[in-house]
Amino acid sequence: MVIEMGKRFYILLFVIMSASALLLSLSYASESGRNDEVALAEINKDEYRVIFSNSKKVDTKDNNKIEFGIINKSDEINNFALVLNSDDKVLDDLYYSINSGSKETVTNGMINLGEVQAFGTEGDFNFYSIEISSNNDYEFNLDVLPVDVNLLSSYIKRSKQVYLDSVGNIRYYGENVNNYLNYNNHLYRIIGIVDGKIKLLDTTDKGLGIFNVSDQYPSLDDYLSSFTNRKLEVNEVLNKRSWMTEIRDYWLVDNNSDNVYGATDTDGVISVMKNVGLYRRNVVILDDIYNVSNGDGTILHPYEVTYGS
Amino acid sequence: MVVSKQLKKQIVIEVVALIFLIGVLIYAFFAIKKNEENKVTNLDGMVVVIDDSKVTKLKGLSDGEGLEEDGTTYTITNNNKRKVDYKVVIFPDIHDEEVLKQVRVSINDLYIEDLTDLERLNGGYIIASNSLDSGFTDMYLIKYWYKDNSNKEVLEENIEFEYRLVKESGEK
Repeated sequence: MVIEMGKRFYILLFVIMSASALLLSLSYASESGRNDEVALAEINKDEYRVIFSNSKKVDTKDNNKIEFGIINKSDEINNFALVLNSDDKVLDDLYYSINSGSKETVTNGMINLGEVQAFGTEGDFNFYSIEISSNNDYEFNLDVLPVDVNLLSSYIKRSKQVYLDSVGNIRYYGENVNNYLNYNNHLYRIIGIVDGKIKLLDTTDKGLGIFNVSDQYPSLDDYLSSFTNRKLEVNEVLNKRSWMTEIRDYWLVDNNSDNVYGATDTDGVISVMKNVGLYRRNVVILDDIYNVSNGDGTILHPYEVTYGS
Repeated sequence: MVVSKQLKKQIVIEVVALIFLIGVLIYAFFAIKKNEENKVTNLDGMVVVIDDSKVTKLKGLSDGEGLEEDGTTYTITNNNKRKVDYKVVIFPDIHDEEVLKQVRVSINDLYIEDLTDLERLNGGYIIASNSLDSGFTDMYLIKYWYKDNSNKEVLEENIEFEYRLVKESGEK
C-alpha cells in the first residue's frame, strides 16, 4: 500500500512539475521575445524626430562616433545643429567630421548639420555619421535643435572665427576677422554673443582727453588677433589693457610698464597716473531677433540687418 | 500510523505542486495572450518573434513619411549556450524587379536602403547580420514603403515579406 501510494505520488509530482516546466519555458520564450516597441534613443518633437543608433552620449575616447537621423516633420525646410553639452566649459582642440568628410574645428559647442527638406518631400530625412576627436578627454550629452539660419546669431555661430569662452559666451577671435556690421548707418564690429545678447563695438575710438595720442590706439584687429589658441595672450597686446562693460569698452594705452591706473564703468577714470591714455568705444547690445539681409561680414560687405522676422 | 503520516506529507507536497502549476498556468495564459498576434518560432535554440500586427499595405511615401509609419518588430533571443552568428533574410512574395526597385527598407528607423541594393542570399535580401551572445536578445524595427515617385501600377502591388533566420557558426 505504501509503495503503491509512493509510486502514484512520484508519478503525479513528475507530471505536475513537467507540465509546469514546459509552460514556464514556453511563456518565457514568448515573453522574452515580446517587443511592443524597439527601444531607440530618440528625440521626438512635433516639428522633428531624431533617432540615434545607440545612446545620446559621445566622448573623445572609446565612444567617439555617433550615428543618427533627423526627420523634419515640419512643412518648411529646417536647419539643424548638433549641440554638445559638456561639464567642461572650455572646449579646446576639439574636432569633428561628418560622414567621413573633412576635419573641422568645433568652435562653439555646436555642429551645423545643414538643411533637412520639408516633410513629405525628397530629403525630409537625413542620416549623419559624426566622429569627434581631441587630445583632451571630453564627454558630451547630445541634443539636436532646429536653427533659424537667417538670424544674426546663427551667422555668428556658423563662423569659424569664433570660440566658446569659459562661461559659455561665443566670441570672435583671430586675424582678419569678418565681423563687420552696419547698424543705424554706422560701422560696428561684432564681439560675439555674450550673456545671450549680441554685443557690438563702435569702430570709432573716442579719447577721453588724457594723453590723447591717436597713433597709440589699440585697434580692434590688434585685439582680436591677440587671441592665440582661443586664449588672450596679454603680452601680445603690448602695454594695452581693456575691459568691456555693459555700455562701454575702455582701453588704456600704457606708455610706462610700471604705471598704475584704474577706472570705473560709470565715470570712466578714477585715477590715471603718469603717461597713460584712456579711450573708449560704445558698446551696443542687440536682442537675438535681428536677421541678416545682406553682406558677408567682411569690411567691404558688412552684414546688413533687419529687425525681427 | 506511519502510512498515514507519509500520505499526509505526500498530499501536502502534491497540493503545493498543484498550486505552483496553477500559478504557472495563469502566467502562461497572460504571457501567451499578450503575444497572440505575434508569430513565435524556435530555430535550434533561437527564438524568433515577429509582430507585424500594425503593418498595412505599402504606400508611396517620402523617407520621412515612411519612417513615421508603423513597422514590423523582429526579435531574436539566443537560448543556446554559445554565441551565434546569424543573418535575417527577407523574401518578398513578388519577383517583378521593376516593383522591387521601388521598395525602400528601413532598419530601426535609421538605416534606409533600396530593397534591391541589399545583399542577396538564397534569393532573399539580407536586412541584418550580427552576432548574439548566449541569453541575449536583438530587436529590429523594419519598415517598408514605395518611393514617392512610384507609378500607379507599382503602388497597386501589395507586397508581403517572409522572414527567415539563417544561423551561422558561432563560438563554442
